[in-house]
Amino acid sequence: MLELGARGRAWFCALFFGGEILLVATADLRTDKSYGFRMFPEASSIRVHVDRRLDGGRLAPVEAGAWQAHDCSGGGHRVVWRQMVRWPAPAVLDAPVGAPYGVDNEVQRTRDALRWVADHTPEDCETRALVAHVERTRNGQPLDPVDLEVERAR
Amino acid sequence: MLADVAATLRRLRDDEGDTRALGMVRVGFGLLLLNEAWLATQELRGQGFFGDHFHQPYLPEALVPSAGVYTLLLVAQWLAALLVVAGRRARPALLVSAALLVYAMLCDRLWFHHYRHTMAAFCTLLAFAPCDRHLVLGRAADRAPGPLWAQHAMKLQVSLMYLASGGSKLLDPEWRGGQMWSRMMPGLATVLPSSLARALETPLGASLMAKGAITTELGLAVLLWLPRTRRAAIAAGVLFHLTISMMTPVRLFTIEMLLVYLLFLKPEVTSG
Repeated sequence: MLELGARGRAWFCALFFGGEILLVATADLRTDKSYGFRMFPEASSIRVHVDRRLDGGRLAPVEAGAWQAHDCSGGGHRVVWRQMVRWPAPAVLDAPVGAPYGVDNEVQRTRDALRWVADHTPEDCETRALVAHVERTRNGQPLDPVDLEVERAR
Repeated sequence: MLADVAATLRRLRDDEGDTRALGMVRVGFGLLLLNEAWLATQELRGQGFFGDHFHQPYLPEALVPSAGVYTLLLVAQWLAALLVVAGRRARPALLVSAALLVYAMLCDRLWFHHYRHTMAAFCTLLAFAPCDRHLVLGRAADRAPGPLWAQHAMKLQVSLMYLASGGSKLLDPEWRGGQMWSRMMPGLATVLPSSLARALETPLGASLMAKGAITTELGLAVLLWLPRTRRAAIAAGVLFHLTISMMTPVRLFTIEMLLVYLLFLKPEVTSG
């Protein structure tokens, strides 16, 4: 199978390099520009602060990357962000986090991480939504901050 | 002109020659694959199964392996890497290794790194090259000439990578202007004389360095292929990658590129 004849070599190269060129050409469609050989696209960072939206719309800040939640039976649970979200996603809150694949990608990771945490904390019966305030810096220049909100399924 | 291109492509497709360099590259990539298996095992043991934490699959969640299946895949990754190093069933093992790398990156985008994509691409191409004729455990070398089309394809992949990388930087005004480069300078400042490091940290210095990096990448894509410029291009490429390696944590990528540079050398060099 790995010993190709003349025709097989041509077909293989056409498929392989056609695929590679397609990945390079479409890299901008992916926030991390993955598979496009965009080496060192930016020197960027973000800083994420997360709040919990409770009943009545009140916001409770997540401090030191953790919060105390109550389940539907009233039992207390400590929820730790870092135990669910690991590097290279924004594992640390309220501190600068590097964005090696670009600031847009790190914001997307933050949004997806909020979604994941919202979906995987059944022990928290109080939080109605997770709200993130993301400060962004691209190549040393501050950008407008981004606010994200992910509602929890009830 | 078109006839010349067609003739060149036919020559690259049908070319035969010494395969020792391919054996060296295979062993090098085998060791890198072992390192990958070790890294994945360390992560599993230290932080636990990735699926139990936040992950970003390209694939539907149903196609992401369970912890048990993932452990089996890790075992397969170790075995394939060992076979690649040993040279026994190395070519199928290279394909398996590449497939496992790609699958892992599709299961979790957080696993994506340029060096892993590069490793998967080179392992796939190497699987189609006669890389199992030299440096095989328990077997004498086969010195007969072998087909070199896949070796040429690996060289073409190098050029494609330089073109994509240099081209994207050229089209990015911030990169071209040096803003990105100035943020990378602290890594280089530790190994350069302070006066030179200070000069390179100025906007003009960073701009010149950025344009130099772009020119180097685009130039290497072509000059590595030309007999008259190949030797100088290899020297420039080695210096370029070692410099980048000092400035950023991309040492595995540097090793990959330096390994593939062996394929641009004349057979007399690699056969000692």
